[in-house]
Amino acid sequence: MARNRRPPASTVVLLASALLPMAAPAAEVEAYGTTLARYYTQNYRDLNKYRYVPLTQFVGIDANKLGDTGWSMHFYGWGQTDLGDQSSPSGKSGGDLTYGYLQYRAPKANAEFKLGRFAAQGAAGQELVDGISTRADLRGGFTFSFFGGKPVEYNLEGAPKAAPRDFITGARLAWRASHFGELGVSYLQDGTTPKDQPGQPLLEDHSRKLLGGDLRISPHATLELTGRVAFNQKKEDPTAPAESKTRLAEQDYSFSWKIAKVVQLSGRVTERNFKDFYGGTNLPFLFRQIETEKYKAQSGELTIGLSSPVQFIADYRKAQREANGDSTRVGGELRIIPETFKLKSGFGYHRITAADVPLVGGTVPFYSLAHKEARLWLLHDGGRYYLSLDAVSYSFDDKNNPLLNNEPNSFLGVASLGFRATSGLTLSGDVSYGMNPTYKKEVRGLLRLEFRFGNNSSKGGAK
Amino acid sequence: MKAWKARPFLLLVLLVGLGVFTGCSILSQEASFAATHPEKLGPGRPMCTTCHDVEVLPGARKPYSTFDHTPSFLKNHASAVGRDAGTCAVCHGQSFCSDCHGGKTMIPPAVLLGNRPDRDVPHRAGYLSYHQIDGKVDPGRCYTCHGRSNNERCTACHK
Repeated sequence: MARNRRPPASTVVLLASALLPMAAPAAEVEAYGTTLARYYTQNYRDLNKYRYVPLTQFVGIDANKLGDTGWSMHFYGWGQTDLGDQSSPSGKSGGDLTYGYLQYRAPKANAEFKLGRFAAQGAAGQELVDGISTRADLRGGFTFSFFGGKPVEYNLEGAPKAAPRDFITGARLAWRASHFGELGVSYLQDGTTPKDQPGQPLLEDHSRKLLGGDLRISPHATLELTGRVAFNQKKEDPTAPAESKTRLAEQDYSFSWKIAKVVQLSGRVTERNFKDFYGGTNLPFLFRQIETEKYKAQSGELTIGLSSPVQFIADYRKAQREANGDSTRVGGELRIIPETFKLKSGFGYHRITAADVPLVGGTVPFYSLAHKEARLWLLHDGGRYYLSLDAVSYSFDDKNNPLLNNEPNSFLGVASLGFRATSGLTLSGDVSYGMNPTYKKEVRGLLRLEFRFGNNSSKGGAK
Repeated sequence: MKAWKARPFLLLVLLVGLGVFTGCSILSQEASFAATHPEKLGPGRPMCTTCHDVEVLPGARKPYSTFDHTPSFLKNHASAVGRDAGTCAVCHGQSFCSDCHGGKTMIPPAVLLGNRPDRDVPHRAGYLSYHQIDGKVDPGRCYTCHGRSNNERCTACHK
């Protein structure tokens, strides 16, 4: 199948840069970015050693109030080059325009219009789209949103190709009852069935048509119930007249209840049919975790210390997969974020269990995925300087797990020291050391320069 | 009818004008959200109810408590973004989202934000090694970003 030809990333970045002079008449212009110089070595357990020196530059520009109106322009992109071994499957250098769009915000009705490359949140995950989007609040509590365009894909030379996605469009109409709740209906169409395979079972066909509904009920400010359901209306096999056209793609229900001012209990139940919800996977058969199977998850969380300097979160999550059994994750996290004291810290511990995995042709019939995860972090912010430490470890129960290369323990520690030269310029350095089943030893060093200049520094990456 | 066929541009202008007029007449008259939060926020995850109590956020028609950045809100933030992205934009630029949802970015979020252990970012601690475990234990969350037809990052190695 012929692939759509796309301009190289560098062309997109150059074209976007050519538009930047349009930002000149803006009343508020802000430029920000991060320069990263990394150095790391990886010693594989098969004795191969690699030395990586990637240089990465992120740059963003926000030009607000163009001509003192509600128009604005926003650009964000990155470029990278490797001075050592190749660090990414994309090649030794690369770059991309992450987003770049012209936006209009109306003074009333939260009306908004975007043109260019932007993020759209439609039905399944976040999508970057080259196209248009609009939204507005209507009279009587109604609200309407729409987006449409060509989805941005992460294509790699040499990777197996699936059918290209030609367009994606989504719309949502909702009604909001002040304070009490919201009821919405939505539709998402992602791509069309490839035309050069008529009447065939289309293994490559990732198109989907999701008709959804969502509900939010909040009888009191302390209690919120939400629900979302989506059905895939795409007919999988056009030659099978008996096939149901509508299949459940997702249902997701959650609640959160602030039992007291500092205590919250929340829970969530999710069911997804992967093929219908995500439109399938582009992974080859052997690595497919999913295809047509259903996935269910139930989770619960108890937070003690909302709005408090000391916060404890106990969490539980159970995932059920039709083909591979259940897994559970249970544990807790303690976060200490004082308002006046400069040291912030956190500690978390989780126990993960999962159904045994059959091992065909191995020395043992099954292996276990059960393990423990622990994390400790510290952040001392002295204003002019800051220091952070972050340590994560995994300890696996079953040393016979073939994925572990006889190494049941993993560890990574990161130390970072930062210096704020001015309010808009910060220099920091990270050093990390780790070992895991893939790397006998992994040492990393990183220098980070963050800058933010302009007359609108009240949002963006700062929070 | 023939007259309209002879003047397609005029017909288009009339239709667009009618659409704009109808659209404007059904628009809410409430003021839009502030472009930026008027007060500087304190350290840590913001809790709107610290200042706003139980009042309703105009436009969103929801109590401010809906947007309290509790642990469960952070884990379930996708549904809040889907409904009220304009509220998020009062404090967050899109570059904040791109730290994790950057699409093609070659650097894992945990490395980019290695100096912010207080932020809840994915893929900490040698995730290249751990992903083969995580993908078997709980694959549901991978596909929000990876493994679908939206990228070939997985298939670069898993051919």
